Amino acid sequence: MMQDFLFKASNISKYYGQNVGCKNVSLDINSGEVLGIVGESGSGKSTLLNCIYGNLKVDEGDILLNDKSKTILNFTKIDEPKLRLIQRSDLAFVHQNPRDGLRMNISAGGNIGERLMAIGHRNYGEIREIASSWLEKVEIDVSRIDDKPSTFSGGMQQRLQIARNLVTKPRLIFMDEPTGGLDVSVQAKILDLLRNLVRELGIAAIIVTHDLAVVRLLADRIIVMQNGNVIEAGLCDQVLDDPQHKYSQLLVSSVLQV
Amino acid sequence: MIQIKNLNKSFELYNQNNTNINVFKNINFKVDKGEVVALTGNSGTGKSTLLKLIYGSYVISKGDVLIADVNVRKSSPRDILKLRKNKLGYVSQFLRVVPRVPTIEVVIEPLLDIGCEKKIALKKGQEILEILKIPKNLWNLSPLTFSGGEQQRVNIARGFIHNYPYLLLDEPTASLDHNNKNIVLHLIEKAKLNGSAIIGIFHDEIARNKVATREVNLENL
Amino acid sequence: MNDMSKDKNIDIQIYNFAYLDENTKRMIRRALLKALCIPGYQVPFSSREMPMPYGWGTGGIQVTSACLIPKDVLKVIDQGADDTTNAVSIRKFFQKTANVAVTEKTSDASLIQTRHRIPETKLKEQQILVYQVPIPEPLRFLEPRETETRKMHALSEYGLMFVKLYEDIAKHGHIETAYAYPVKTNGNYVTDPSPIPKFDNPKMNNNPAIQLFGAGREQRIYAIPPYTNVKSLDFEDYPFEAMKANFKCSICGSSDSYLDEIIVSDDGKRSYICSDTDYCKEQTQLNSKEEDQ
Repeated sequence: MMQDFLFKASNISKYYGQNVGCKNVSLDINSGEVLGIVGESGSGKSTLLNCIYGNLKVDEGDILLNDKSKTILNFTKIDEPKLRLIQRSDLAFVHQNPRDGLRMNISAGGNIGERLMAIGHRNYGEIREIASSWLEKVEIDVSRIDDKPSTFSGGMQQRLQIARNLVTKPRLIFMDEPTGGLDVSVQAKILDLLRNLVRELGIAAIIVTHDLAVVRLLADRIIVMQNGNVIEAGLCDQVLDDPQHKYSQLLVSSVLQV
Repeated sequence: MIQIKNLNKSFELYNQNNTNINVFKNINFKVDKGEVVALTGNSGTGKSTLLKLIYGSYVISKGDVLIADVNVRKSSPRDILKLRKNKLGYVSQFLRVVPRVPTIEVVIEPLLDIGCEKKIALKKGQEILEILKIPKNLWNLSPLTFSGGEQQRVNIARGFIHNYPYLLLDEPTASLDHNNKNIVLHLIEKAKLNGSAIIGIFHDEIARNKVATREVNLENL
Repeated sequence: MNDMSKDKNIDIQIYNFAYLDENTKRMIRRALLKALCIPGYQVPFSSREMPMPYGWGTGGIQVTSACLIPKDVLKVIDQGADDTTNAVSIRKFFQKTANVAVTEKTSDASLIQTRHRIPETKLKEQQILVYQVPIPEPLRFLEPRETETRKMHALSEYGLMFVKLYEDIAKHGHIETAYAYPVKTNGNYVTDPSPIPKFDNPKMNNNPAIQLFGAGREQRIYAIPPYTNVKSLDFEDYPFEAMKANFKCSICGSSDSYLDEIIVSDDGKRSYICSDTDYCKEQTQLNSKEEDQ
């Protein structure tokens, strides 16, 4: 009945030989929503994220995106050029380690500008202006625009990676432990940034994390994974406060106060 | 109107010898517009649990919670989120916010979520912080550094900045001094007159007697 | 030279015509034809060991070898000059192995092998220009993975190429890249023009001659067919500019040819002369004729 969904993955399965990466996972997300995927390491969170982003080929299932022109695209059926075009326009992927998502030997401005130039921007002045405004948005001093990310702190690098990903105004952003390697006070800044961006730009985000405190503050809904299966899904506070599955109860109770 | 019908709640704790805890059985009551219902009963009778069931934070074991035309048990997470955003407010004893976010931003968030313009939201936020006597020099600091009473008032500011037609209050006055308590009670009174249906837990008898139109004792149900 | 031509009959019997065996030449010609059909596309070929080290023009020599026919007239230049080591030895190599006529005059040559320059004299139809290429992949220094660069070409994902130009402007206030300045061939593939100065880039556009590129170590051949659109990459607000030193040649006086800077005295006095020796000679002759009249 809901034809205005933004993104929907249904019955996704991925096997690594005999091993299960993820099995029969379904999820959907609308604009302006944040979906958390939690579970311990090895539970298939990152596999799932890479599958639905289109980086990993799925063995079963469909991945549907309602694109800007309201056409529904199935990632498992479209050809690679089209998929890569969508990945750099409609979608974005923020890596846990900013080094995986940034070009460390290219200036901050160049890092932000790359996605713009990739979709056809050819005006240096404009590119620079947009890059500056994004540095401001992620609270990096604009005077650092020509510095290489290798001279930035970890938190700045992560914020730069977010800016680089959001500059083309994607509608859905995938994040793999976006605050994973950062100390707590820097995490907070990034969480606040993400929340504001989600609200102001109306984008949707799917966040993989093992940090339940992070999902509680960011996510509207979460899914809990164990051994590649989704064992519980629902409202974020409901799953964290009143988990119904044995494993989710264990997961929640083994965390120092979330 | 909030309607509680044959509500049951039990917790199944799988990792603690499969203990099954029955909190309560067959609770029935209604709260109309302009009513403040105070939940009473000893500790452990499930007052906070009931509020969380109504808010959707806990899973209903049996029975129904109806808020206006929404059946909480049958609603999807999205519908609950929509309900919370627009109609159902909740003031808890604890403040849970992103660290380092200024108090004023924390307070106006519910308004921004329903699409209120930032300028207007800020004005309303300043008004309510003034009413609650949070010193102006604290507005741009994170509430996580505040005292217990100040944190509680920030929570109240969040809960009252938007005129929710349905309000759940979990000990809103617990750690407040006399003057601040009266301010909060006044806010509740105003919401009541505005036609909100309110369910609250008030340990403080004087406060309860001041605002409650009715009491529901969970032990007698 | 006359001494050499006496022995040439013996040499030809020892070597196949133009050194490479016929099967290898056929393989290279197939690669060349494919390259001409898909302008700017890098065609892999199985580069042979040549009797000289990689980096000395082994790619260009293999392409020349596959193209030469007995009636060809060959010219070889290195940085525009006919008389530098690289040019002289390659020219001798083909004299010896193919017994073709050689020339220093651009307009007389049917095949010109070049390192790092395009002759100043306009090329004509029926002429072939063979470039020696060290690194055929324009994206290489930005993206080290070959699998990835091939995909980027296939999908025209050239954002990264512009990042390089962006970085230039950010750092120097203008596009600093002065040689091997990337071009877009036939509106499609981004192509490395080999390390020619960007002054030569406009000459590639709509050129009547066939332009062939050989990279021996990297085992790639690519081509620009005659009259193909070749556009140097740029930004709207920082358009491409063909640049040269702002002086006159101190030999022929030409102000529109590409100049080499040479230091002529111990106290660092500089002088500028044409890098294209044939063009310089031609201009000098023209000047003296004018003086005679």
